[in-house]
Amino acid sequence: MSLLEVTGATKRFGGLVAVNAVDLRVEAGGIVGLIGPNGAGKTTLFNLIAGAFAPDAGDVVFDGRSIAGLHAATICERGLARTFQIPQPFGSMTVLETITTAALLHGRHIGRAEQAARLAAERVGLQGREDVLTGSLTNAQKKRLEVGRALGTMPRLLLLDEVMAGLNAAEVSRMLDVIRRLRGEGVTVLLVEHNMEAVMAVTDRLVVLDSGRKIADGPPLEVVEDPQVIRAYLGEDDAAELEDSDAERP
Amino acid sequence: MRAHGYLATGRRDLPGLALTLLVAVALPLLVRDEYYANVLVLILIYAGLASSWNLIGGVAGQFSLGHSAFFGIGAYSSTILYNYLGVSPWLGLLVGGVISVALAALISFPVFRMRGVFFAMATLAVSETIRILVIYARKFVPLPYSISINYEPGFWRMIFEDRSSYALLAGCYFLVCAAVTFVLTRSYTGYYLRAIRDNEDAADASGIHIRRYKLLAFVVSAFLTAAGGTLMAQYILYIEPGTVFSMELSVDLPLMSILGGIGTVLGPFVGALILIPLRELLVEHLGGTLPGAHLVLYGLLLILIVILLPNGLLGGLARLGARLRGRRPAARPEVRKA
Repeated sequence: MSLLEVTGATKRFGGLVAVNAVDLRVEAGGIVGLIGPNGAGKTTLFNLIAGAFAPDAGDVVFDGRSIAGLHAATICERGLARTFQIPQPFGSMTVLETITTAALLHGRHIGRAEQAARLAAERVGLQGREDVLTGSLTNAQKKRLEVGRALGTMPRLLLLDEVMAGLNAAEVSRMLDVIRRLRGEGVTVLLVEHNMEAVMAVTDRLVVLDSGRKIADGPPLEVVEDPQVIRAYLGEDDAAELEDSDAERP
Repeated sequence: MRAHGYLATGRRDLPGLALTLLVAVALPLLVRDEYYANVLVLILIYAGLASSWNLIGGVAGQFSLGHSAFFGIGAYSSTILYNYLGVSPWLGLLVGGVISVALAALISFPVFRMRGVFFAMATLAVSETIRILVIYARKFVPLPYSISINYEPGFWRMIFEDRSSYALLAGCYFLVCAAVTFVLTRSYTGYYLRAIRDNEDAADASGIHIRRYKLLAFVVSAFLTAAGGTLMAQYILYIEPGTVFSMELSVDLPLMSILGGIGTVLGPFVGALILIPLRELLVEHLGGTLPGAHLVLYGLLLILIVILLPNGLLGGLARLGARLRGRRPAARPEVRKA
């Protein structure tokens, strides 16, 4: 059984069908990438899973139990943690206090939560920054703090929403190290990302959304060769041109 | 670094704890002068009330402007029970507290849907509604507009001959409010309430049930505010809707907290320590000659203090301390207000 199983998930905003009957499976231990052009419905699907809002149709099953329509906090308690695309720090807290807050989910003992938080801070490369106020962090550090806060809740599935957006090459490679290390520790990751290169580097499987529908699902190298995916990214004309030039090649 | 237990306490808490105990217990026993004892009683009751407000308004960041509802319910419950049924105000205090908790829980469903100024306005509307309902209720029940309590000293009647006894009672009240704040802020609930105050989305995503913890802070705050209402009624021995359900009180409590240091354990006390004597002095020196002038000066002073010390006096002191120790002050972001 998959750790996460989304079946027929649909979400409408007025007349717009943002997510249209999407199926998605995430097996335990893997890193799955969710990609698609702007407005494809990636973040909406992400929000349906994380509990920001309930699907209009379909179901989200995590670890054998439906979580569709549950509160985000309850979903987090079940072992599914998310980050935010735009970092959402606790403004009055330090790095350590932020992660400690998340770590208190599994026990009200502050000393133990702090110890867990130190480990999580180290896992995301924020060691030595524990006592810095979240407002004084750089954007890249704030992004890693998002991951650290999510890790603080000790999730079995980690949902990362564009954690690499807005980072420079060095910062991206640092974030990739963090994600690779998580794989080694047995954390399952679902990654929404724009940065193709970065996605190709870490994922075991890619799922592509376009206009609310799933158009591809498979190993990254196969998916990026898929004509439907190329068409979705480049548009009809450019894709046709590309196909023509391919055909002309001897 | 030392790991702490269920309460995050450190050596830096000790001076505050010592000061609190000193103020709450030693001062009431020492001050014998009638005039100063009166000011001390008022300071301590207001310090307790502002601490109660600070739980929901400062620690949890939900800026209530309706706390006079709980204060008034506390004052009315114990006074009516005592005057008409002979029930001890000690019991009346509990009854008023329970009614306030019920009211807080009831209104929490609609008001917690609102954030910021909308929450403030909703709580203001609730307290005004209660005041008007109490006045309106006199059409149906034989309740006089104002109620006096006969002056018959006795411990069970919660009426005392000397002001220092009142001061001691008020000191204990403040001590309880400060202790509750201390425990709530230093335990996991403190982390949770701060998280909710700072960023509700992130709190939600960290597994914190926001409604549950806001409600917790709200009902505890309501109970303690009602208790202060009973104490004040027993001290003044006179209540009427215009004074115990007054908007002035709803504004004074946040004002004291902001002035001293919002969200901190001792901030509300520091605020009361400044505002109450200031007001007494201004009324005394200007109230007779230039009616209303004391309010103008009071307002001006408040504006000045808030501009100069946006994080309250405790925040300003912390910054001064950091500067004296030759370190750059930690840029503690301002607590989001309203």
